Amino acid sequence: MRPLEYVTPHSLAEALERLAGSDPSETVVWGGGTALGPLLRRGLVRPRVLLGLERVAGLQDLSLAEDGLRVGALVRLADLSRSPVVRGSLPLLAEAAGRVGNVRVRNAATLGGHLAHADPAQDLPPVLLALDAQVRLESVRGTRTLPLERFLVGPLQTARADDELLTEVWVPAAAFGRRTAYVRFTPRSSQDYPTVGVAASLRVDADGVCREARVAVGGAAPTALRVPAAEAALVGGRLTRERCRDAAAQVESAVDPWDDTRGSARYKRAMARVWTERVLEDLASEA
Amino acid sequence: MAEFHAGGEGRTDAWVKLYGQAVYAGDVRVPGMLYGALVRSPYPHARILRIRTEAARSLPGVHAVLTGEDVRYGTYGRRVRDMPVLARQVVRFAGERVAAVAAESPELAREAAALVEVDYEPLPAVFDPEEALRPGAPRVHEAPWTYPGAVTGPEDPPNLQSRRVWQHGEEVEAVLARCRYVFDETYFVPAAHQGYLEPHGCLAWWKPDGSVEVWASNKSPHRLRAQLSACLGLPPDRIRVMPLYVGGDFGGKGSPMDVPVCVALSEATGRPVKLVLDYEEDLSCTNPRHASKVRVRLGVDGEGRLRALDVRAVANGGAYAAFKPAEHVNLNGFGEAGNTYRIPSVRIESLIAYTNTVPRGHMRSPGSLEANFAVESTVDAAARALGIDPLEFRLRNVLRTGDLGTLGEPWVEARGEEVAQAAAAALRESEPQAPVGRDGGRWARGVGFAFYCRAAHGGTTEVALLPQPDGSLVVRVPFPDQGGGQHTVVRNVVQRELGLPAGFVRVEQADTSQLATDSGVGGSRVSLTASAAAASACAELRRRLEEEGLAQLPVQAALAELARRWPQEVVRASVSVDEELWVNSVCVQAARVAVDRDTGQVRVEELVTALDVAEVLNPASHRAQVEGGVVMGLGSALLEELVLEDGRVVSTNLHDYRLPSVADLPRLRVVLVPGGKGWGPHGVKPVGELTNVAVAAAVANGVADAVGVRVRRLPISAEEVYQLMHPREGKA
Repeated sequence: MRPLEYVTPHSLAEALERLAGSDPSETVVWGGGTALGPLLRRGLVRPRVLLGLERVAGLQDLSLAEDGLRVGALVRLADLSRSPVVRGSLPLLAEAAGRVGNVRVRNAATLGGHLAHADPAQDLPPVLLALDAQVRLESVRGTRTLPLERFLVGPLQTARADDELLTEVWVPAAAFGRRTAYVRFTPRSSQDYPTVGVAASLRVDADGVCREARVAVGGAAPTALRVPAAEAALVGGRLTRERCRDAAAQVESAVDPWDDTRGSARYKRAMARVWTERVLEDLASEA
Repeated sequence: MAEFHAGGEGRTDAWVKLYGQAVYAGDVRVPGMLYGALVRSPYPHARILRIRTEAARSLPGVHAVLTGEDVRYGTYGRRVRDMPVLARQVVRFAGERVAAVAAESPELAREAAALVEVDYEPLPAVFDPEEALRPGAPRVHEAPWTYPGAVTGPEDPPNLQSRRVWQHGEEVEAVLARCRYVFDETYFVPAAHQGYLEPHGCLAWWKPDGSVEVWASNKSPHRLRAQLSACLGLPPDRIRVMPLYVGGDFGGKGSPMDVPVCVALSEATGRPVKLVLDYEEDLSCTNPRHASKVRVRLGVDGEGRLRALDVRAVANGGAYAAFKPAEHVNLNGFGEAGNTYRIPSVRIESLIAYTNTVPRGHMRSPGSLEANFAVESTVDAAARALGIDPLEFRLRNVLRTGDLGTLGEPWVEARGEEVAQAAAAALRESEPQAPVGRDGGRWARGVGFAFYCRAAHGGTTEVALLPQPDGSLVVRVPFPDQGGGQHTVVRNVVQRELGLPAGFVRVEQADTSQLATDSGVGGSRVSLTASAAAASACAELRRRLEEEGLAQLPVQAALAELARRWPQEVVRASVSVDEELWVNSVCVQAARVAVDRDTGQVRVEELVTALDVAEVLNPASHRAQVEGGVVMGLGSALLEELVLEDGRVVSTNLHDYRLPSVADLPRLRVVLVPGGKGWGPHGVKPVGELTNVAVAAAVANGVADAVGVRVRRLPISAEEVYQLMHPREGKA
């Protein structure tokens, strides 16, 4: 039987040292275990060491500053959803975090683990894409910051190097105060992964002209996907029904879904269009 | 009804379960116990060329590694004994037991099982039941009719497990030919798992004296003993099945499952061996519901009256018939097709085929949901095609008291009309909910009805009363409480019969050596037989008290005195109800459904369940059975499908195999229609397999009412509704 060791470094430096000196197939970072636990149980991941981060100071911090909101990688989704700081600055993020999985999952799952797992149907990647989020990666070699869309590489694949740890998510203040919405379309059970998820954030002037737009979908491509062509269709004019429909058509042609129990590729493509249109029309009608 | 409330006492199992003290198979510990693990076939059909067990055996702490060649027992089954304890020479489904390990810990047993190497030669396989029944299909078994208990013969298609025909009235083809309208529709209900919380588990102990003790997640201990006796070649009195809570059953916990292999491991090691499946194994390798394709032809005359019904079902029985207990090894629910209506000519045929897939067993009201979804959808489609309101169409044809049933049954009553009116009235009381979301226009609303009728069945059981010196009474019953509340029912009946206050009756499950007979939990029969046996035992006890001159004393004092005089006093009574009862229960369900026009999403906003009741033995347990059934029906209607690809179950976890959660439930309304005629001293009607059946048809009929499309496959998915509504966009 392979013995499994659970290691809990007391500082970030210690954690990074540990990561730097280990074989990535042997050592796996443990956040809340909601994604990794089932993989371990089914023998799909067979590490020797689990690197638990709960004793590392700072990773559970949540801070609001002039340049935006910083969320430590070990902040649990339940805490994210309840935090007055998050609810005040980015209500969409709090609301979406409060709808992931079920309460048992949210009490354990961490934001860092959620993003590092990189399942293309997760809820928060499209939401954070629509909020221009960046992730901070640290290693003994140094620190770098990546826009989320460059961090997400493919199904269960990220740009994180083997010795790097995702330590923080940053949402710039420029994303505050936009009109935002996220829909997770779960036609079977509310606890399913969404068939598609659509997130959007818009900055609309007092004259009704859309100045900035972000549109992102989950569950319909190898990663959560920002759709610049849809954003371009919205910016520079009033949010008419036609513009929303054009943007939705752009989403439909940009996505690249696959068949699974949540729907066929064809259905998911159509649903990405329907829900983009609905989300944008809802945002357009907000006062 | 009020006298059945037991003075504020809850269910007999409430506190033990609340405190975590109820003992299930996985909790049983015996000194010296080992743990079992299984090696299963990855192939749906293959010849076993070679099994190498040396590496597994050489691990320290491994006590035995067995293959089919090491096991000298016979095959086993509930009726047809076609299942080997461990595969010999051939495997017939992916997941079949090929070898078994006993070791010092569960982890070690699993590790050793992973070290067993098996060489296979894959064989041609068949997964679809219709293909399996065609000439030239790969044979799942060489000569299945030679198995003990087989109901087929050498003249039948070699992959036939069972064929059953029900027929009444004039020849159906002739009547269909005369009908003004004939509706010809085909429906599909997929495989499903029973979804109990507790996976299968057992502990077997081959004792030094050659007797065997068994603890198992099994709802029919006496039948289990008989099935083990036939398989092991031991007389029944050498086998003792011990009392145990069962963590949910829903039809799936009635077979020996892994008990024989556990016995083999125990015999080989001389130690007790426990084997508990993980949920992945339980989902993919036990005994899920048959998948069924059901063709319905319904003949209607010019006045909108049903004249003829022809039903042909083909079900996937999987690789072994061992998990079906019924006499014909079929799904008797198919025989209920159309039984809530007056239909003068009826023919129903159900074929079950062997395939190279997981063997199939019973799931709550086996065959009923499949037949009901097909027939109640066709009746609805017929009404809509004829421009008649579907409820009005049903009421025009509904069976009334005095009518013979569709198969000639002389029912004591037929309360479909009353129950339907109660459901319709309840539905009228509730206003449609406010439109959802900003654009209420996206939701189309509709209402669907479906009727169901279930016969009461008898069985055999026994109850023993043991007076205690403190004036209380211990009641021994031979069956477990698998969550249905049957121990509570027995307690309430005994309390009422003897006039004992709360706290003076304690129900215990006996082991199989203490009581002689029982047909187990199932067929919605236990409240009926156990309440009759309990009443009869109480009458016998009262007679004993008179004999002893104690009848004039207060009951507690009389029981205490009887216990003092005769410390070994046991008063027993058994009942055996083998005649037809002609008692039935009617259930009418109405679903208020909203369909998203652009996505096909189906939301059930309200589900009304009206049912015909006689005497209710325990209102709380009755309610739990009714509501639990509705939720299970919603799961079948909207969520649950055990998906197989290339013969292998691929829904191997509860994320993919989605059961309804509380968040997924609509408003549930239950309307009891009292005044029915039940059976026995307490006027009992069955309820356990009633309210799960017609939900799927009610929801599908609601979808048809809302958006005009007919869903013919369960579970009803948003994508299918979307495709039916947008046919020009084609299929994926």
